[in-house]
Amino acid sequence: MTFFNAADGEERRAPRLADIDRTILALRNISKSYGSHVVLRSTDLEVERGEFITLLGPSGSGKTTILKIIGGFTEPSSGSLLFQGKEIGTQPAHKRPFNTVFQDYALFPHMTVLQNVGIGLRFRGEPRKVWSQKAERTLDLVGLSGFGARPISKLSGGQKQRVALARALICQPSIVLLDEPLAALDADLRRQMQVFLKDIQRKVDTTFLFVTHDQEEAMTISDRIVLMDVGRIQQIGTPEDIYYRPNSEFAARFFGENNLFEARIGSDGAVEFAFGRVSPGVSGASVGKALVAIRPENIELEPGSAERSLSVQCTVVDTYFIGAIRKYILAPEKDASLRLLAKSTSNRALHFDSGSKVEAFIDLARINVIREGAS
Amino acid sequence: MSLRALRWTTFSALVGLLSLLILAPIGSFLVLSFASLKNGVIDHAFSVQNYVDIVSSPTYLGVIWQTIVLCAGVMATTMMLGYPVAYFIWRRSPRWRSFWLLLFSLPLLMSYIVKIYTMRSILGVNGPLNSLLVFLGILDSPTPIFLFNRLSIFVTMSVILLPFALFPIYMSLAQLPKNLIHAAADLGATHLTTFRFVILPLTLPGTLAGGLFTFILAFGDYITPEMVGGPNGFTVGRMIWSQFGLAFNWPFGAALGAVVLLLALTAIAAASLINQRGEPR
Repeated sequence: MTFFNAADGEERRAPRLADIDRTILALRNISKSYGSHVVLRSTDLEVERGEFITLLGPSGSGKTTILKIIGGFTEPSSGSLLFQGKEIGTQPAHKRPFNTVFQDYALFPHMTVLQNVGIGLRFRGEPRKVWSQKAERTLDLVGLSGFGARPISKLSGGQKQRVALARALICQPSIVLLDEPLAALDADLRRQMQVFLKDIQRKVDTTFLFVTHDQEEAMTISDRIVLMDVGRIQQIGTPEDIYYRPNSEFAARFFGENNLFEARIGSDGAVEFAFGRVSPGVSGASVGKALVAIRPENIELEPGSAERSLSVQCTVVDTYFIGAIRKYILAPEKDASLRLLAKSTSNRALHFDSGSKVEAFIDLARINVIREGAS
Repeated sequence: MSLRALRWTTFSALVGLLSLLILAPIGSFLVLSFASLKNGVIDHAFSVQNYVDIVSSPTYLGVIWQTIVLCAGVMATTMMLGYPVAYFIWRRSPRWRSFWLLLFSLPLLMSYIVKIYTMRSILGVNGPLNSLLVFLGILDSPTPIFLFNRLSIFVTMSVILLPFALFPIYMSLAQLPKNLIHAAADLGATHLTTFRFVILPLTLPGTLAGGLFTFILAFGDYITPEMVGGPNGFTVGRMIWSQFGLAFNWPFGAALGAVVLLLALTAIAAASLINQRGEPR
C-alpha cells in the first residue's frame, strides 16, 4: 500500500525493515487458517529488542492469533518464526523464551499469590528458598509487597493483573506477551495500569508485545503500533505516524476521529475534493480516485497561523463541550449534506453556538491524501 | 391468590413432599431403632439396648470393620481406574469424547442383577477368566477361588461401580479452564509437571467425590455380597438384610442401619474437610 503526504510529497513504504541486530523476533510469511477460513494472511513482522510494540485491531483482525503463534499455543499454517535469527516455530510452548500475561490472568486458584509467582522457577527445579525469595522480590517490583500469603480469590482485578505480570517477569523472558490484559478493568484502573505497564517495561528493560483493540490505549502505551484488520497488517509505525499519516481508509477511520472526503487526483497531480483543489498536490501520484483525510484539530474556526489554508463557509449544526476540547459539527454551505468535524481547545474565548455561521480554515499542510484501492 | 402466595404455596408443598418422602422414613427407622423385640412383637418402649448390643459384640464390629476395609478398597480402585479412563476421554477431540462417554455410561442403563450375573459367570469355574488362565498356562485346571468370597465381592463391586467414579472425575477435568494448562506450559512446565502441579490438585476434589459415591454405594449394597459373596463374604448390608428378612428383628436391623448412616455421613464430612484443606485460605 502506498501513501502520500501532501506536506512533503514523499512516498513511504509502511513496513520498515529493522536492523537485523535490533530484531529479536521475526515472523516470515506466517499465516493461519482453519479449513477454508483464513484468520491470518501471510504476515511479516519484526519485533525490535526492548520496544513496547502493540498489535492493535478490531476483533477478528488476527492480532490474538499472532500472539498465540508466538507463544506456541497455536500452530501456524505456514511460515517461520525466528528468534534471534533461529527458527523456533517447531518448539513447544514450554521451551520458548517468552511468557504470557493472559486475558483472564489464568492464575492458579489452588495456590497462594507467592506460589503463583514462583511457579515458573519451581517448574525449572529451583529450591523453595530460591523461588520464594525471588517471588517476594518480584512482588515488590509490581507493588504487591506483603501479598504473598493471600489466596488468589481474595484479590481485586488490578491485583490479579499485577500477580500475572509478576509470574511472567520472574522467568526473565526475552519477550513478555500480553493478551488484552486490561480488557476486564474499568476505565480508571485501566489508565493507571497503562502507565504502570509502561513503567515496569522500562524498569525491567524487556521487549513487551501487547495486544489490544483500544486505539487510545495503544497510543498511550506503545513505542510502535502494528495496526491490523481482517487478518492482515495494515500499517506499522509510531503512534504519531499512524495518527497523522494513515495509509488506508481503515487506518484513518479506526485510529482516532477523522474527516474523510472522496477526491480525485488529476493528471497534473492536483487533488480535487469537495472544498477545492490542493495544488501542487502530490508528486508521483497516479491519476485516480482517492480520499482526503483531515483531522478535526486541523480545522480552525478563526484565521490561524497556517501558511496555506482553505476557507469553507459553514453553519454550526451542533457543538459539544468535552472538558479540554470542544467539538463542532459543521455543515458546509456549498453542500449541506456533508459534515465537518472540528475540534478546538475549550479554553479559547471564541466559541460558537448551534445555528451560527462560521468560517472554517483547513490547514492544507496537514491534510492526507490516501489513494483508493491501493490494497 | 397472588403470584407471590402461589409461589410460596408451591414451594412449601414441594419441600413438604420431599421431607415426607426422604426425612419421614429415616425418622421412622431411627425411632424404630430405639424399640425392641419381645416374643416376636415390637415393643416401642425407649431402649438403647440395640446399640449396646452392636458396640459390645466383636462379631458385629468385625463385620462393620471388614465392610469398611472392603469399601475403602473399592473406593481406591474405582478412583485409580476411573482417573486414567476419564483423563483419556478428556484428551480426545469433542466428537470422540461423546462416543467414549456414551460407551462408559452404557453399563448404567443395564440391570443391576444382569451385571452381577455377568460378573459371576466371568469369575466362575467355567468362566472366561479361568479359561484364559488355563490357556496361558498360568493354571493347570480351572479354580473356584475367584468366586464366593470377599475377593469376588471386591472385584464385582469395583467393576459395577466404576462409572460412578468415572463421571465425577471426568466432570472435574472438563471444568478445568484450558487457559490454566496453557499458562503452565507458558511458564515452562512439561506435560507431566502440568499434571502434577495443576491438573491433579484441581481435579482432586472431583475425584474424591467420585470415590465417595462408590464408597457409600458399596457400603449399603447387600445384593452383590449376597450373590457373589458366599458364606465368607458377610457385610453390613447382608447383616441388615438378614435382620429384616430372616430374623424379623426390625428394631435391631434399624439400629444397624442407623450405624451405616452415621458412618456414611462421617465419610462425607471427612471428604469435604480434606477438600477444604486443599484450598488456600
